[in-house]
Amino acid sequence: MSQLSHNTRTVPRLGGMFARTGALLQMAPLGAIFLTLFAVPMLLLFWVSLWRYDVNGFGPTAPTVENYARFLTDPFYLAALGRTVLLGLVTTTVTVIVAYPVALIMARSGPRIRALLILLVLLPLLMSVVVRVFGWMVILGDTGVLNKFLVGLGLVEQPLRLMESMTSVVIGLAQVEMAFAVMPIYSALLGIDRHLDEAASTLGARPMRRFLRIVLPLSLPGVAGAAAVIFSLSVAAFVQPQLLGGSSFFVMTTLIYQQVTATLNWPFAAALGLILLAVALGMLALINAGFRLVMPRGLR
Amino acid sequence: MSVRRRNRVAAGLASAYMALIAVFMLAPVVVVAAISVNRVGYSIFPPLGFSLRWYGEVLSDAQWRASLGTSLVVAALSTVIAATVGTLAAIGLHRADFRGKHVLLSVLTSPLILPGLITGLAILFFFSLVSGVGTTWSLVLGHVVITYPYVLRLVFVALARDTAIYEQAAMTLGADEVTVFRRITLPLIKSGVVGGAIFAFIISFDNITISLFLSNPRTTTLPIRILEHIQWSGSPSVAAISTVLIAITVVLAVVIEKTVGLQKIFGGGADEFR
Repeated sequence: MSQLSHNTRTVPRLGGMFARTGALLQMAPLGAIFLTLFAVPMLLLFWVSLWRYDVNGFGPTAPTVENYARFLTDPFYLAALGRTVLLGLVTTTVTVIVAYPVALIMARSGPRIRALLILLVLLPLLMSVVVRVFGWMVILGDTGVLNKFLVGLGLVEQPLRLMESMTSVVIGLAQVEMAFAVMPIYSALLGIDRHLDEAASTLGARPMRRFLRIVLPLSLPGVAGAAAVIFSLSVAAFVQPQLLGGSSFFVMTTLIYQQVTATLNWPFAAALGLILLAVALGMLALINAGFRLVMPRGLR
Repeated sequence: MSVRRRNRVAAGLASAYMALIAVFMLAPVVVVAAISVNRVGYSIFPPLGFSLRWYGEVLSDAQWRASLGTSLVVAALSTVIAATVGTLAAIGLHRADFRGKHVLLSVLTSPLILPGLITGLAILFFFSLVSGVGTTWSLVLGHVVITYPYVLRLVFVALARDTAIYEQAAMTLGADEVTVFRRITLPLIKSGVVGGAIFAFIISFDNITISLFLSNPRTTTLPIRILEHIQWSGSPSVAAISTVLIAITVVLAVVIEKTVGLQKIFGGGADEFR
């Protein structure tokens, strides 16, 4: 094939380097990295999850579903999975509700304010998650900044127990994931035809009604996109539950960490990882289906 | 209520809300930075007095210095590798003419979508089988897996602005392949390559999930050491090293903004996750 193309005298196309073989060659290094360092390890993960673990440790054995059975029959592990899904749903709801007005204000501001808001939302995203969670530990602690402030103002008598709870983990997640919620909603809002709003206004619809009947429904694809990303990030998060959730707040990621580093039961950790992956994908499909039900017909 | 008055109220509400969001987004970092300049030996906010002694302490501490060094070396090496293979593959993918090109792009960027901890676990298994963990190279290669997708995507987008027509023009005017690549293609995708590389550096520099399982007591990245530290102590020295970490990232973010614009990287981000 390349033999032929070299001899034809048509419009000069970039030959060798950019011909089909060239394109394949250019993709080869990345393809090799993808296969050896991602695809093969993922298959290995699946294989290890089928190993038997006993007092002597673990190694390749005849495939067994023991690790999965152990998970499904132990209330402690099932509770951790339930907590993971709940954390994902609560964080998604809170983050989207907080982010929506930000996106709305962004979409309706002038270029200077808009640029400032985008920077405000995006810049923290580039800062270490560990450091920001550390900041939340200092703010939310029993003798932390927030409690001092509340007690000082006389708003509460006793310091609030904010740390080591679902609340603190959700706060830590929402702040880190804010940008992923704001940007898709903002894009969706920008894509809405302004004339629709104007027409409704001309016909006498009040702002609130215009928002509920036109802007909100038309922005739902952006909200759905944001929700999918936030949910995925929340169930996959490790630092926030580990540092803000306390020692009894087990979610799937902190369980995996414990199994790998403390218990040294790698086959079970592998099974936990794959269960998390399967449940996350299933939940994403459900969330998507839910949004399709409420979306205006033309957008589905 | 008149329309004008209603607009004033709305504008006031919007400003108040944005102020709240600004506090929410910036508070944790501001608090950490403030703690780091405490004069006393415990974390207190607002800080008591002002001193840079904790900076002196962490920067003269061999362990913190080693972790900072590891992080910088790992980030630099993985960035160079990710930028090289990512740019090459983006060009190849752009040139290649087959159906399912975008499916392949999605497959190749899938390391971004999977939970990082699971990817990290898989890479841990891989390295413990082939070479053992806790080496700088295992960290570097692990980081390449989660950084090359950014380069691939950004360069691919830069190429999509269709460089072909300019390349053809140059060829018609007698330029050879190498010249075309150097004088036409590369300049056109430069912003994508630079932006992708800086972004890769930041991702690697801040990474937790991959490094978590690939670190060992001798070779630990800075975020992992900070993570281990704050689990049992929140001393001002941790705040100082954290502030150093943030400062490095902010400088890089400013460079991104000047070269590609932050929005380009995140703006279309949502579509990639679906």
